[in-house]
Amino acid sequence: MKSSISTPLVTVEHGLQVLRAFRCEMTALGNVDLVRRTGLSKAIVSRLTSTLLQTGFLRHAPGSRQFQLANGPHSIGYSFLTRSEMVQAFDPFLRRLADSLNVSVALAVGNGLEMIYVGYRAGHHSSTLRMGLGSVLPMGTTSIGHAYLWGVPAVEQSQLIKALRLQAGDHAAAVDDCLQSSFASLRTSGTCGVLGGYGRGSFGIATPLVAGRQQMVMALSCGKASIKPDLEKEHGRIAPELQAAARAIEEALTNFDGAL
Amino acid sequence: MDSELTCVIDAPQSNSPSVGLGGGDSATGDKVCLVRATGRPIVAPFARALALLASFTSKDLWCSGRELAARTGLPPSTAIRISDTLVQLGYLHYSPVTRGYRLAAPVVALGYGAIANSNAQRVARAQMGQLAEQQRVHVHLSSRDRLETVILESCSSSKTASSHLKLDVGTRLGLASSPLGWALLAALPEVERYYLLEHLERRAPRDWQLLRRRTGEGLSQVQRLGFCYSLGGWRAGLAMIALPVVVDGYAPHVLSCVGSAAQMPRARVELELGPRLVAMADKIRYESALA
Repeated sequence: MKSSISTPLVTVEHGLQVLRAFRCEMTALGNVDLVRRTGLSKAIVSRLTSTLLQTGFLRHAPGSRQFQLANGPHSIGYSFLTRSEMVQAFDPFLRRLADSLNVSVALAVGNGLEMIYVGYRAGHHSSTLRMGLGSVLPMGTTSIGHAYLWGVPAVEQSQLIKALRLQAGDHAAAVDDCLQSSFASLRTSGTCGVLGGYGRGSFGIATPLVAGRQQMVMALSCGKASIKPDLEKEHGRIAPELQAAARAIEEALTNFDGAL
Repeated sequence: MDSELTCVIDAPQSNSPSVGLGGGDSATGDKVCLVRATGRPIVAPFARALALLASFTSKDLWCSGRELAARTGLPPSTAIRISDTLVQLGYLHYSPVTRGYRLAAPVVALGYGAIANSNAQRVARAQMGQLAEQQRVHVHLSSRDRLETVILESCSSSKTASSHLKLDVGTRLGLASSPLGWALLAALPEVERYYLLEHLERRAPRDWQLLRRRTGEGLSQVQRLGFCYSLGGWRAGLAMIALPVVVDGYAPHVLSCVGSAAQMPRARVELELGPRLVAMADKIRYESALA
């Protein structure tokens, strides 16, 4: 359990964590699920869900006491996406890559110890991987997270890795192993691949990129869900085009001054 | 459910910084955690942060602290303090040059995708685009948020002359004041409908007679025709048709189409556009159940 001594900053952070715990899915969750997903105490979670309910960000799922995302969050995300010139600029590249390789393509930024999809396009046949814009993925166990970690400045990188180890608890060694093998791959080939990092039977191949005058680090990934994927073969197939797309996006965003 | 309909921002303001959630008893201090008459706690700093994020529109880039204060009804010092908190957490950017705030990328993680990626909406989006193009009208999908309908999806024909009539995503209309709301009310169980109408009456006692009569007409149109419409009555020169779409597992949605009154005479509305929308709602219901 996290500490419950709170400043307004911590309160707002916790509240938004509860909202994020829905992972942009329509799935109904109860307070107990949210306690498990956020690590916050039950008392805190129930006050936060009550607030979210009263402000129109959550609602009761039809015929149930569990909660579901309501309409409140939709217009915030929409306002951001329609006003962000960067999002408009990189979207065509994602679409091209998705169609060309027939995979789902995501562009993500790091936030806390998680990765957030700020761009997403699905290939024609990849509808089985149910993710999309706004999806939140763990940084420690996904290819897109590892590529991002590889891309950030050294000081930030070591801080993040330390925090990830702490978060993983008993699984710290396993997270470390996976991360080191991704880093080895990134060092030699510029890309990394993780199998089943998120959902079994799926894989992700990712590479970091740096965008705009403010040198913002992001990660670009290709993913697919398939039965017993041959990671090595897919990696070889996807890596060259993935890297070419990453360079093309960097090029297109060179003169962007704004932050994303 | 009662408190869901009350406005959060009218929570008492304190000049000293709020201390957020205490570790222990929440009901002891009003600055700590406001407990409403209904007995449901609301965490004030969090509710204010949500209101502040929601006050940005798709037309804003940079927004000053003063502007945000005006929109949320918060005192400027409070609005700025909360904005700075959101900057620290990465949800807003601050520009010293414009001295303004804007939404940052992590806001998309707060739930945007749940609706945008939902089957029902994906299916609806494709069909709405087709209808807008064929009929040269604006087609919208909306849903309820407290006492209003909110536009979730908006499709327009590239050839339409009436682009000023388009309703943008995020646009809110009172439940009793337009066909969107009437269609939504028509889809609800009776108890819930009367419950909402009661609250609407408390909000707008002055115009209530007129709104109540129009709402009643709208509800009976939906029962008779499957859709309801307003030809210039809701807004001069504008015609609107709306009908409910009920997909299993989702709260009711409303499908609607808007055009100029000249372009949408009664005969076209009743014999062509209305029935088309009814067929489309059936198709959306059917296809989202398959997806």
